[in-house]
Amino acid sequence: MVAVLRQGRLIEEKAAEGLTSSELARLMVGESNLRKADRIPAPTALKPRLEVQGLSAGDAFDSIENIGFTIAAGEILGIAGVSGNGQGLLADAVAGLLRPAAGEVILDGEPIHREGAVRADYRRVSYIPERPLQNAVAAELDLMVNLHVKKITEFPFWLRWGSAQQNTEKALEGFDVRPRDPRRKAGQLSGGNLQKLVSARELGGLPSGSPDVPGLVIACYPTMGLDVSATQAIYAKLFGYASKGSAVLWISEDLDDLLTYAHRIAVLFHGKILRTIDHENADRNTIGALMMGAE
Amino acid sequence: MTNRPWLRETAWAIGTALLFLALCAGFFLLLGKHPLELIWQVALGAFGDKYSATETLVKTTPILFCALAAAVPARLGLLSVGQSGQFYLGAFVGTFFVLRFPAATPAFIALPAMLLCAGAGGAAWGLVPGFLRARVGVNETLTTLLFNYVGSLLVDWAVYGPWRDPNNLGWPASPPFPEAAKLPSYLGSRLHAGLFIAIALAVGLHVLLTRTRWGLMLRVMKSNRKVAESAGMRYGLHVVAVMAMGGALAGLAGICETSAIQGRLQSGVAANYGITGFLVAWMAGQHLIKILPLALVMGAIISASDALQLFAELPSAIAVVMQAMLFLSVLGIAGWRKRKGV
Repeated sequence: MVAVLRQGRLIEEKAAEGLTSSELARLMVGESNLRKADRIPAPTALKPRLEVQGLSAGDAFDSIENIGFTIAAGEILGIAGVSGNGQGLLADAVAGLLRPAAGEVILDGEPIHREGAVRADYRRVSYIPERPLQNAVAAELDLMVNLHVKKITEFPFWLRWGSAQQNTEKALEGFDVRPRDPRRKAGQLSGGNLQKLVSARELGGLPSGSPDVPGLVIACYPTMGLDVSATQAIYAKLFGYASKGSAVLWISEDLDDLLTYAHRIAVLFHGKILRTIDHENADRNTIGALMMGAE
Repeated sequence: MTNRPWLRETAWAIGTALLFLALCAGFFLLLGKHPLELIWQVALGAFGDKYSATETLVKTTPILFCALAAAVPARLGLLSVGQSGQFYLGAFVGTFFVLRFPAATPAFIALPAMLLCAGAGGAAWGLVPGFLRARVGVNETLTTLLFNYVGSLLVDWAVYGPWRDPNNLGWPASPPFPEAAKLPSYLGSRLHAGLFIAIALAVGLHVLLTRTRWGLMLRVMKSNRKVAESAGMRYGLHVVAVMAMGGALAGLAGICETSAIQGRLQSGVAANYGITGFLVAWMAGQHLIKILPLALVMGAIISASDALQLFAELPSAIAVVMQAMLFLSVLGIAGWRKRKGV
């Protein structure tokens, strides 16, 4: 038996046998909401924006080793792999959060990997890390502060929130974060709403003064804990940046989505990239086998 | 739920005070004393006449400074217990310069210079653990604790050795401070300007921590260092900054006590002010304004215990018990409120 709950109401209860996944998805999100994100066509001119060379980081338990790839302007590079194969480290190292043991990350000709006490350039990189509660929000602070956290160092000395409250409300509405209360503490949100909150911050949810299109967008499991329609909404925003010319690094466990939306797929296994495959040549079996470590 | 939070806070504060009095009454009853009469005696001992009231404020001053010194680093999530060592360093460095002021230095130069030097001395004693924490991740609680011993021994070395005043006939203390380097006292009592400096700093720092960008950055860094760093904040820099600020505050306590109360540098000048201030800061939940009344109550208990020894024939250890009662009521109520979410 399968029971479908939607917004606190029992929608349907029927036998699991004979139930198709599309029918289940329709029940879960409601007929009208099911809209798949458009696939962004691969860029024709391959001008590399992001170059990663020989990147190594981590310790004996979790490491990445000699990672190298490039992402062109407007390109979506998907990283496939069973989680726990170094995805979090890779994302942190490329985002410039942790200091790599070796290698470099070049965005538009300038190194952005971390060398000193502070992240090299957080303004041109949008980053949705894995496990947002630990990695992406200040749990004790409210949603308004969390949405504006990347702008705090540019605030005036005497805090003036001004229009920030309204902007926060709009951003929460735009990304469907519930409850829509700017004063709610981030730690009180559910996992899915937290994920949406981080997306709202990193994918330009703030209407005024929102940054120019970031050079690089890194998304590590950006739809973890989201329902089908919310997932598609995040995809639309995330891949929308590719059509605006950002380089998109997208780490996912969902093979079907990777095969649909990524322009190239690199398979990460035990901290190394085993192979990078173009969209046209990618199929489930090859990538599935690579994810298990088969060369 | 009232929509006037200050009203609710005041009601809880009164409730906490009543619980404290009830606990004290129960304890006095156990001792076989008349509880209300003894509480009255304590109140008289703390505030009954001009002498008691000013003595209470005299005890409050270093506690207030030290509480601020513990609260500022805690705003970044740092647990500094080095107030006593920083107190000694403030007294040490301040005295070093005071003893070298030219004889004719006027007070309006001598006093600010003395406070500045003492602040710098205390700041240095906070800065080193802060730097170690920021750079190599050494636990700041351990280093500040150990620095307390070094600070106390440094003052001992100075007053038993090179700075000992030969006119003291063997008594270990520095030569007396010149008049120009003594903080002004008021009401013909020992109440001195340090109290007002401490209150002004508490209010100023409260505004700084709650109304400015820097205060907000500290809150973000305390809540999630990784997020703060990914938003361009330099965690290590701010660790050093708050540790140095905390040190400077405790250092001011040291020089105020040395200059206004003792009039010379002596061994053991920090007494228990460091740890008492630390406790006050934690009772106040690091809230710089809530520190003010709690420091006053602590000062009152310490000051009244002297009177109690004389009139009620009770051991001075009664002050420690009453401090514990205060601790129990404040933290008990705060913990209960947190659990119940009221």
